[in-house]
Amino acid sequence: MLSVEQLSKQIADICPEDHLKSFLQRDVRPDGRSLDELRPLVLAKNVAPTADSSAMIRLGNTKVICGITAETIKPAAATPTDGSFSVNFEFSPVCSPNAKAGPPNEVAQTMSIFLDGILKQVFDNNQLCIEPDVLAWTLFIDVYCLEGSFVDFFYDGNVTDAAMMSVISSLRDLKLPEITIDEETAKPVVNVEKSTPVSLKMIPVSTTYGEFSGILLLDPTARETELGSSPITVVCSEKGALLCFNRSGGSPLSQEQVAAAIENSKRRSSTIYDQYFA
Amino acid sequence: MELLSDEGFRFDGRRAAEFRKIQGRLGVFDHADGSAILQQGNTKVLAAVFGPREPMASQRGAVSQERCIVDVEYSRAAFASAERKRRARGDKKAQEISLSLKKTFEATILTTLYPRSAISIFVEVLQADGGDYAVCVNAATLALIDAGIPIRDVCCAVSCGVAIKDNVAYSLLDLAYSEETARIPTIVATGMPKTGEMVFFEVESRLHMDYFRAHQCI
Repeated sequence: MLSVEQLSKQIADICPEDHLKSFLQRDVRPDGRSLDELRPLVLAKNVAPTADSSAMIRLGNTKVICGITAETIKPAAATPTDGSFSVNFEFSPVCSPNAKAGPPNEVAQTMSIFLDGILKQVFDNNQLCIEPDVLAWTLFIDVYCLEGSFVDFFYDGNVTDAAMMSVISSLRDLKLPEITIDEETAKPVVNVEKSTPVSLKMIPVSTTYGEFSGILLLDPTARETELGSSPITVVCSEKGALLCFNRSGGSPLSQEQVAAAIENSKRRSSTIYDQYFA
Repeated sequence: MELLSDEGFRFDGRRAAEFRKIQGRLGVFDHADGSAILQQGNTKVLAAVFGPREPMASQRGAVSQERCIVDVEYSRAAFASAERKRRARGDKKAQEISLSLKKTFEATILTTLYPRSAISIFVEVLQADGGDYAVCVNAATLALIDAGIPIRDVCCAVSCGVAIKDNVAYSLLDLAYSEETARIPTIVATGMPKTGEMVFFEVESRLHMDYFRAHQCI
């Protein structure tokens, strides 16, 4: 004799669209959430002490870890007063039964580009300069998805929001030690006692909506994302500035829906900011 | 750095045959059939097991009528070691480790119980502070136990260094990173405690036979 939950899961496997539709008709989702409710969000800091700063985000069952390593380089000739950063997102093999060796796949590369694009808007490379034309910091931002995508399960998905938040949280915790160039030896002298945090022009928070038959679902699970057409990602700062609106194809949305999604994201950005970053 | 002080203490206060603090948890992932996170000292490894399940298209060639395919993928976070090292997934070192893990678990899992199937073991090193390979084996064993996959015996691995002091050889068990880089002869051994059998044994440095005492490792 199957329990209601087991039966529901089997129906979801056999006719997934009808299953989701029957829930949405009652303004609720298969995991019990309302259409604009988030899954529980947990932020853990300094989870990888070998990195200079790190954070792990758990959004429902989606788990993303970010570690930032700072190294020194000679600034590029064209930009002598700028340091640099690079974002690298990968799906860890533990996150999917179909993991394969080789370079990151297109989903991972798209995510890297997305995170990089947002950071370029909020992070000034000038602050990474130690000595113009001589020495600057370069930040390696490594993001790994430990659980959350590929396979159709009920409770994971929406790696985008988790990844964005893990990067921002790690950046907020990052402290760079003071480095001065010794005049006589021309060698850098590191003073670990004195470190300064890096600053962000604003705090971007990413909000993703799944789209299924014209209905927008906040923080979609992997299954909801898979069944609908393309999801929407809106990135807003805590003060309400719009940094990114991403919708790659998919069924058409009305202007009211777009406006509502942006408004909702703005509200969510300031809530997340007050809760975690204030 | 002195590996073993006159009083018999290592750099972190341990005795020669003392292990680092071991912490672990099973069932950390919901989507995997079995999973575990294991921390020995500062080395932290995640392991996930999927299977037994239908082999993927890419594995079709290796499908056997008598036993299941064991597929292992090893990966390491770029920030895992104190010096950031970004290795592309599937580089030579990772492939070598994946292959030795695969051979180890092919011998451990009762593969004849699951013909025409595949069991996948994925390992991710989050923090590397010495003895990474050994902790990977231990974490993968825990994940297999969590998955309920029948195994011949629990597979335990340990890294061991040989420190020679006053012409007496001491086995330093569960090496930390600073001890590994001290260029002493190191042995990595994987064995099955109940049967006393050794599954994997690797020495990659010169060691005089007089000082070689395999039984000390296990």
